[in-house]
Order: sequence, then structure tokens, then C-alpha cells
Amino acid sequence: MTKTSIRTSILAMLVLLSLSACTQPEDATWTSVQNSGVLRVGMDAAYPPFEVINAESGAFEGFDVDLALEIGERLGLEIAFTNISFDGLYDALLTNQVDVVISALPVLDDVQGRALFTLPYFNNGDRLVMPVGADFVTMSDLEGRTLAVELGSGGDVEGRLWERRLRDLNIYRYNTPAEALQAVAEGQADAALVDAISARLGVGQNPDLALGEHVNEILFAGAVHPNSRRLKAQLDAVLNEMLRDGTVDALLERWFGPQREVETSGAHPLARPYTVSLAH
Amino acid sequence: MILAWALRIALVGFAVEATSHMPQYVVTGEPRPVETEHPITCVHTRLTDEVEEWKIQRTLSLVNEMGATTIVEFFPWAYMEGAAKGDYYWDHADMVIEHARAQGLTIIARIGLVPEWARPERTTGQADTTLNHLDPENYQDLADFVAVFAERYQDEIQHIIIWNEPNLAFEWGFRPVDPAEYAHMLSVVYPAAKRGNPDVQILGLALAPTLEPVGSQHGMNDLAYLEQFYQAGGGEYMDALAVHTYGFKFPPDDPPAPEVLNFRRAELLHAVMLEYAQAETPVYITETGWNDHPRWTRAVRPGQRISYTIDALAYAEENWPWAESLCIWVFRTPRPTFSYPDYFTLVTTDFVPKPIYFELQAWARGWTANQTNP
Repeated sequence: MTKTSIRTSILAMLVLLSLSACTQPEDATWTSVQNSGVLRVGMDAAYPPFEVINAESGAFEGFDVDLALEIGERLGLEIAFTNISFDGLYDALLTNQVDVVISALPVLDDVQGRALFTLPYFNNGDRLVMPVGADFVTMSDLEGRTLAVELGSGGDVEGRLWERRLRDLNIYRYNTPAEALQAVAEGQADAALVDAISARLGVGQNPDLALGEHVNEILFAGAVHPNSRRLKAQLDAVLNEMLRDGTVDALLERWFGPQREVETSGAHPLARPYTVSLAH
Repeated sequence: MILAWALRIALVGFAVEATSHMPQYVVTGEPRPVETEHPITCVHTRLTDEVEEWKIQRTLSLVNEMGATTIVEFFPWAYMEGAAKGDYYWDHADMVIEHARAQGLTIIARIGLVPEWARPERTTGQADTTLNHLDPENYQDLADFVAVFAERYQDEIQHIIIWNEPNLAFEWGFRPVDPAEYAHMLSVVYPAAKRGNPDVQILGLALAPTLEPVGSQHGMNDLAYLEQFYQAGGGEYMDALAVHTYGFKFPPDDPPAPEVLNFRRAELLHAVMLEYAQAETPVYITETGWNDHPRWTRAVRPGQRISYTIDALAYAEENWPWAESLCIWVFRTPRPTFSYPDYFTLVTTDFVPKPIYFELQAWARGWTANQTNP
């Protein structure tokens, strides 16, 4: 291919891209946000550490609150929070009560046309936790070991699957994720498998614990009205920036405490993709 | 060359077309018994909207293996006599009932949902009626259907619940809830059902546990409703009381109180029965359970849900001699709701049994519980 034909191809692509941009459907929400300078954020502020209302000040606070404020800062918008019960969040979007929902909202495969999801910013799938310095990071390393889970939880479901995959996996079941993590801290179990929120909180509070692999995904993302493609694009761009420049990591440290992952250098080549991919 | 490719494509197309409409071959098999040490164990299935036969079979097979003896299943009138009066479609009901029989399960059939032809015609300026709207002049249509249903399945179904939660405005077609009117409906349906199958047991009420006061536009307190139902003479037209009782945040031994919605609210309903000389009338708990959604305000932790559910079954078995069955809402749903109702299920839509399934199975079948903690 000659230089001229490459230039022509690039030019043609640019023209096509600009044309497609011109033909994008109007996004009334984004237009309204731009005109008012205010982004209305809906959340169910009863889910610490993601969002709660401070009992004394009455202010919204938590990981999602800081995330939304940072988004506002980067887009040059003021943020106005509205407290809405979890079951009403999608309806709030559809009835134009809010512009975006940021509320530890799990991404759904089938949202029945009620919303568009932004880039995910947190994975609340089940995650292994083990002592700092453990020489294993994945479920398949648990042969001959003991695993602590919360009875009936997603970690319990996964644990029962792995009981059939491994020849010798012993599972201890506890009433809460905190008890399962405590069992690891006290040496009663080799690892715990709990939801990522509990895992991160546990690691944040106990310097002897570290995060291992995610065994599944429950991704949290923002949601906008199904017609708000331009707003979604703006939010995606900012979230991407925040994931890359360490802002999201800093917010995790702020709301979950210091985070540590199990050292994997050399010994476990399979561990790295799990610990880096969708770690948020 | 082109002709050869065209022939190949045509052959592939023919093969795909020839096999795509073939029904899936599902073998019902010989009836197998339920192995259980606690026959009170029952689940509410949700097979109404399940299209594929293998899923119906798999669901009921899992119910059998869990050690539940009984299912509650919804058989919508609107699905079975939807086109016109007397024009019946039984295929789906036949399929569900045949597979339940093969798994040795007792069926409690819930009948509701009104066909369009039995609802008032639309008139300009009036809101549409809902699938739960049945005017008194059409009670006989429901009675005629129940008679045909009871007769058709007289060998397989001995328990029929008429309607669902009539103390809620939504379930009563957004008309003002009215215990006397429900009693009137039963008075028309009951004799017809007995004509269809003299042995069939008609279960009444299946009230929603609610604290809504008398006069509320949303519904009526279940205790008040039951009182007024008996005062209207409704007790003559049912053989057993269907009860819905949920634990919400409370453990199963939480004491009953009129202003509290908890598992033992069933005892308050039973006390009303005694007040109206219904001591001999059996009770079927056709909906009960706890929810373990991580964010629903009325949910509990997954481990609590397991222990509360098993403790509730044991409590009912020991303390409620009048309770015939305790049916857990809900075994599995054909599709997820992506919200808190998914956390009532025992098995996921994809047929993955949740830990509560295994723990209930261990309890019902008398196996050692799956606990190995130090």
C-alpha cells in the first residue's frame, strides 16, 4: 500500500467517523446537563462503604460519592445527589429524576432496555484472601488446604464446585464473611473466599491478610438512560482516565483501607492475569 | 464448482431445517417415590412460564431429590381457557402434572388469572381491567372452569387454591378488597369444584401478610380480612386455609404479635380460625421463606436464611399439628428478575442448586449437615 493510499484511507475513515458523529441521536440528558452545569446522581445511600448518609452532617459520603464528585470535577459539573431506594433506581433514570445512577449497581446482562451501563469500576465477585506471604493465589492451588466461606454465600457456591474439582479441599463455613476472614487471620483456615467488598475491608483492617484471585465477576458500574449515549461516552472517558491514573485505587485505599495483593513474582505465573484484570 | 458448492449449502440448509423443529425427546419414566424424613417439606415451583419440557422435568426431579413431598404450582385460568369459554388448552398443564406424578409429588394447584373474555369489555374513557379482575356476574365462569379442571385431574390433584392474596388491591383487580365478596366467589366455585371431583379439597384465602388498615386503597390487614371472611359465612365454602407467612428480618421463633409481620403470624390466623369454630380445618402454608439479597431491607444473611428456613420447618412440624405442609417460596424461576426476588430461590435459573438447597436436602433426608468447622 502506497503512502498516498494510506493517507486516503485514513482521510476516508475520519470523514466516516465525523459523519457518524453527526448522525448520532440527540441525547437530551447530556444537553440538559451541559446547559445546567449540574449532573444529578441517584444512589441508595444505605450501603457502606459505597454510599451512606452521615448521621451527624446529613451529607452523602462513601466510595461512590467521591467517585461521582471526581467525575464532576473532571467534567466541570456540579454534582447533585438524590437518595433513592435500590429498587427505584432504574425507574428514576427512566422518569428523568436523575441523570446517572452511581450506587454500587451490578452490571446486568439483560437490563431489558432500561439503562446503559458505563465502564465498570469495581468487581464485587468472590475473591480469595490469604495470609501475607502465602505461596498460593488461585483456587487450583488449594489442593490439600482448607477454605473458609460464609455459609450460603457466593463463596460457598464456588467452594462446593471446587470441592468436586480438587481431590482434597476442606471447607469451613461461617455465619459472616468477617468470621471467615478471622479464621484465616487466626490460622484456622488457609484462605477465605468472600465477596470482594468483604475481602477488601478485611485486608484493609488486617495487615496480615492479602488479596488473591477473583474467582468470578459481579461488576459495579454507573447507569444512564438508554438514550443517553453521549453522557455515557463522557462518563466512560472520565472513568477510563480515573482507572488508569490511579484515582480509583486511591479511593479504594481511602474507603477500604490499605490494599495488598499476594506477591506472585515467579512462583505462580497464572496469578498475574487474575490480579491485574478487573482488579477494581 | 459453483454448482457443487450450491448443492453442499442446500444440503446443509435441508439438514438444519429438517432437525430444527423436532421436539426434544424427554422420557417421563416410571414414578419414583420421594425419600424424606420430613413430609411437611414443600416448595412453591414456578413452571407456569417454563416452555421447555426438559426444564420442567429437571425442576421437579430436583424437588424430589431435595426430599420435598409437595409442590404448589400456578395453573392460570387465562392460559387454559383463554380463547373462549369452553375452548381449552391443556398441553402445558398436562406436561407439568405428568412430570410431577413421575417424581411422586403431591400437587397443590393454585388457580387464578382471568381470561379476557370473562372480563368487562373496554369502554371509552375507562381504564383497562387487569388479569385479576372478575366481576360477580362472571363467578360462574370461574366455577365452570374449576369444575372441568378438578374433573380432568381428579386422579392427580386433590388440592386447589382459589385465587391468590385477595386482600391486596392489585390481586383483586384494583377493586376495593372485600372479604364478603371473596366469600361470595367461593360460594359459587366450591360446589362446582365438588361436582368435578367430590374428593378435591378447596383451599381458600392465601392472604398476603400485611398491616394495611381497613379502608386502605392498597389492601387489608390479613387478620381483619380473615375475621370478616368468616363473618360473611365464607368458612362453609372451603376445606382448608391457605396461608402465606414470611419471616422477613425475624427468626422463626420470633413471637407473634398483630402489629408484626413474622413467620409465626400464621398462629394468629389460626387463632382467628379457632374463634370461628374452625379447629378441624387444616392449614397449608403455601408460601413462606426468607430472602438473602445483599441490599434488600427485609433480607437476612445467607447463613441466617438457611438456618431460619430449616428451623421454621422443624418448628412447624413440632408445634403446628394443624399445618399440613410448609411450602417455601420459591424453588426456581424460569428467568431472573435481576432484583431481590431472585434471592428467594433455592436453585438458580441455570439449575445451579444454592447452598440452601443442599442444607434443606440434608435436613429433609436425614443426612449429616454439611458443616465441618473446627
